[in-house]
Amino acid sequence: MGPLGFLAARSLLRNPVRTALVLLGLSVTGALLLDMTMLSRGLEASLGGVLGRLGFAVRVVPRGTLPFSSSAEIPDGERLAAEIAARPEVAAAVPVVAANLYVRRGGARFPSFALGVPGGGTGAYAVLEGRDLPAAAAGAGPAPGSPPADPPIVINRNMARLDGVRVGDVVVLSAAPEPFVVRYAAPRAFRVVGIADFYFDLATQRSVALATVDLRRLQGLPRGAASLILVRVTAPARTGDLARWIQARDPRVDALSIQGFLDRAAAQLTYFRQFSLILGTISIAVSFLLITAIVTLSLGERLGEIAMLRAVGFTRARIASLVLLEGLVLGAASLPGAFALGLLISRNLDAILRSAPSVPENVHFFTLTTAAALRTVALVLGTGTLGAVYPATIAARLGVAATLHAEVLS
Amino acid sequence: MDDAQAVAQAQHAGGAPAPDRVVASADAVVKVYRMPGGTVHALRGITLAVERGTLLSIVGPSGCGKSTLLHLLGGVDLPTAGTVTLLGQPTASLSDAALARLRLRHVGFVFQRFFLLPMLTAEENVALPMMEAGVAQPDRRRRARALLERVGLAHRSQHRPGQLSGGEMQRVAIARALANRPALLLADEPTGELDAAAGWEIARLLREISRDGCAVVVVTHNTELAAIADRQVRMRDGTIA
Repeated sequence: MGPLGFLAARSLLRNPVRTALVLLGLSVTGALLLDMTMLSRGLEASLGGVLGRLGFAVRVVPRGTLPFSSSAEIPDGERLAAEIAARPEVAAAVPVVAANLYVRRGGARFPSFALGVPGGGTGAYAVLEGRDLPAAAAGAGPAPGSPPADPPIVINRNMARLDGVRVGDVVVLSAAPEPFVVRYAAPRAFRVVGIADFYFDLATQRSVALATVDLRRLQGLPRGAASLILVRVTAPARTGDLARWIQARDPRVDALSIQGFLDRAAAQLTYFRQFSLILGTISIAVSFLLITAIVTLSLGERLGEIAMLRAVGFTRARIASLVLLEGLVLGAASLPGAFALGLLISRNLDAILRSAPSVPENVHFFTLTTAAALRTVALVLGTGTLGAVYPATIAARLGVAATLHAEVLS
Repeated sequence: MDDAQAVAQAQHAGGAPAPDRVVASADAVVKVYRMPGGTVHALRGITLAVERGTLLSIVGPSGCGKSTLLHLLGGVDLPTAGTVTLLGQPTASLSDAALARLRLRHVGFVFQRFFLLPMLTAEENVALPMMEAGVAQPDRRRRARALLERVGLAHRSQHRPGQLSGGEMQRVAIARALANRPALLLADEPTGELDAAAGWEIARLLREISRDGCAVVVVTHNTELAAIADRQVRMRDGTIA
């Protein structure tokens, strides 16, 4: 460490109580800055994490939409999925149908999100208990001569918990809230074969997964369309080429890579960025003023020392650098407190926000990523340095002889 | 530039009784301060040479320009007119940064109010100019300890200024002034805030330093300190009386 770094670091010891109070203040503003940095892209980062874990590199959706964001469907989605699956760089292409169903239980009807999949093993959800849907028997009826069996479904944890449903139980689903809506087929019983995590469930949402053929039969609709096609690739480097091929093949769809998905989602979440930008800016402004005030105050108390350093041989530039470093050191010293406090606050704020309706369980608003941490560190250090610019200017312009003379007279 | 070279250059300064020994000189120096209340003529045509290995005391009533002259000789201020030459170089011809480098390598300052950094130990205070001059840590540590030993404070090397007496602080300040082996040591009222015994100790120390070859200039009201100087300059109203 050079003399300036040494002196700047030791300057923290000059007035320990005052330094502690300033660091406390800077920790609070730094914590707010960290939280706002985490919030600005937290939802994207969290969403990206979940998407990455699912392992689907490309999502094919009706043009201009996000998965399950509307009732729009790809008219011949199953055929398009088959064409995509035939490509060499594709490991699997899973056409998925999303629908709203109603769980009939004890005379009441509860809305449920339904995922129609070709069969088990798609990776669209993770089975936690029991087993998955049959892979090959999707929609297949009972063997000739066998008693008719209830088709299998997989339910989510919320449904298991809220309705007391266990593996092996039978649940009755209908496509319409009331029986007199004749367009739809009659309610039908399903056998629960597994309980799963559906990744994007809301906190109290009921979800079920069933064979597409069973879902369409329940809806009274023909097969063929899909809400979404999930594509797993064997060559991630060729994801871009694949996405372009899909869009060229069917202009009615968008083929979104994970980043494309996140970019589109981010465009719909700008209010989080605006919110964090405003509060983050306020936090930086308060830190800046705090550092400017304290370093200027400290400088005023030791003009004689600064004059001595100049007399001893420190140049104006070195003195200015010393004062700037003091601001930097103050910022740096506040970082541990800022991170500890920021993480504590963000945990509580995240819990509050996630308790709101329409928020998926696996998604977080405040996500500490390496980029968020580095951005916070850079902003805190930059603010510390900039906060010391004004006192550094004063120190650099100090008249040595006049100051020494004034110090003696005082 | 080492001390020998500096002194050799100083030979060209001229105008002094022993040019080969001149470290700093003032030639017809005028210093005027323009204040809100009017113009103050602090120095009115001072001519003076400071020689290597001598202790020069400057005495005179308050406000007569003693400290101003000291600051000009040390290159922390520039004359309004006339020439101040420091180690052969007219200070007015040097940039601020070049003057700072010259002070760092060749001039030591001792102040009435010590100006030790309170968050550093005595040893660290002494080592400070060496750090700035880029002396390697083992060397500056060794030299700082040697200097503290020379001023009789080896046992206080790890104490902070707040734990030292006034006399001890001034001795640390003198050790700091000697850190980079200066050719010129300037002391402005070094005994001004000390009791008689401590003041005498400082006077004795400055005398020793000059005996070792350093040019020492002391501005003082202390008659004992002034009396032991090799040469005494008495000032009045910005002139040498």
